[in-house]
Amino acid sequence: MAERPKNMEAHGRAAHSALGEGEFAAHFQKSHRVLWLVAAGILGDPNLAEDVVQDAAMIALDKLENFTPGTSFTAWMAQIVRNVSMNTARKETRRRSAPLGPDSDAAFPDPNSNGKHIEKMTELGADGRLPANQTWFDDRVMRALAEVSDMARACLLLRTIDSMEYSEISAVLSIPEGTAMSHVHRTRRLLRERLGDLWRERPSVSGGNA
Amino acid sequence: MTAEQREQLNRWIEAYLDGRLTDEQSAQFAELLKRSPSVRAEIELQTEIDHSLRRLFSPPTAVKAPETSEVVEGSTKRAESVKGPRKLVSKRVWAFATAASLLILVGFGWQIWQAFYGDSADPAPHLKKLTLTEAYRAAEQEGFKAAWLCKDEREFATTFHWQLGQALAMAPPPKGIVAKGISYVRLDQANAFNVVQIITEVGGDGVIVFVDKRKSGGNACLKVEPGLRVFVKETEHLLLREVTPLDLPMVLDLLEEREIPDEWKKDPPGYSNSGAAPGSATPGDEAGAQPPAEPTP
Repeated sequence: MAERPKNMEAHGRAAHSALGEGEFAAHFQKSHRVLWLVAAGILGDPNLAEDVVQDAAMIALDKLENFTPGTSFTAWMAQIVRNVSMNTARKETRRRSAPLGPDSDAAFPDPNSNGKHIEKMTELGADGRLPANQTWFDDRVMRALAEVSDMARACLLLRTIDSMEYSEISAVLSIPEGTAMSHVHRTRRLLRERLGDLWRERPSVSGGNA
Repeated sequence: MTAEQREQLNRWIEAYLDGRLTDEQSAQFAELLKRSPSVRAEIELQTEIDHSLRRLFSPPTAVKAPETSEVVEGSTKRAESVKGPRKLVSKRVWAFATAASLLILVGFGWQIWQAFYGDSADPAPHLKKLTLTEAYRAAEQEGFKAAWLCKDEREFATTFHWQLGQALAMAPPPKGIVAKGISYVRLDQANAFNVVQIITEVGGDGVIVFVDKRKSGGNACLKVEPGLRVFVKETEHLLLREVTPLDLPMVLDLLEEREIPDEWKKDPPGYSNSGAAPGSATPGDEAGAQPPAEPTP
């Protein structure tokens, strides 16, 4: 176990902590990817995820004594990330919806997005250009994602991006395994329903209807 | 297909996607995929959705350590940089220092601000705070002429680096989109005269992308008058708003943040090699209006 810095003892808050700051950092690094996905899922916004994870880490550092040895660090941190994410989402919704008036552009935000903004986070390809259909499709995916609950989004991202087992998702998000599976299945289905027509009618499909 | 059959098919699809089919079931499902174009299309669609999710939600590869925001590669260095208590102390010190500085500055700053920008004064037109619509209409009245053209990608990138602290790259526009150049504008949500307009023409229509620091605007205005639309793209540091009479954004996708070499950061834009000042190119000259060349790898 890493030696506890003296200043921590001076603050008297970590005297009973089972987790040193050095260990925290190591655990944090290992869990970062999952925590980032949890934040991105709850927020529905990858751009804010890193800030939220960092804020959650600062909160966790102040509450190291709350961590129970032998339990999952990732699950403990994920709970903090979820709380911070939900607070941030509420603030963002208020902040972003405030300036919108009745004459605001109808395409932004999407009427189905519950006030959440739709962003374009596509990356340039190797040739430095965006495939035309990629942006178009990604935008629709983001809009459809805004329709599902924050927990369902988080489950889907952990499953799709990190290929986590449902039992692992269950542990990280503190929900029953069946619920995690149900969230993923229903969200996938909803996305297919929302995007099916658009996908079939997408421009420049070679070979006719896909 | 009845609702029950549809439900059953969905269960098969989910089991297939989750890899939970037995060998025998997999063979059956493979047969179904061969026979049914609609099921095949559904699997293709799900695959495309998964690709899209991976593009949209790609976690960063380098991990930032808490507090320092320093990007570290190894856990050892990370452990050294995590110092919660120091942050608490330093936060208080900075809070007092900031408050004291503000008190001193407010007195002097307010008078200077009023002299140049205050509502009581009659500001020069170029210093007037504009809404997105007003800024667009003002550019329209001037025939969507830009203040200057960037002669190369370096000037384009460094313009944004100097003005907004983050360089920007523009991919070569496809046929039908003409990059006309760059101007500065003062929008009513921005605190300073630092919003950069990228003026383009798409099929004869003027399309302007307003580029601002991501957080400097606070509640970024998204309101435009009927007949115009605003599309938004947020990058890590920048907020880009495309104001257009068209139904779709045409320029936002061409713009991405980029890193620039240190030597580019030394000189203000336009003063790199030739010593020519910004604005030396002719605004509106389509031959020279081609975008700031290829984005640098």
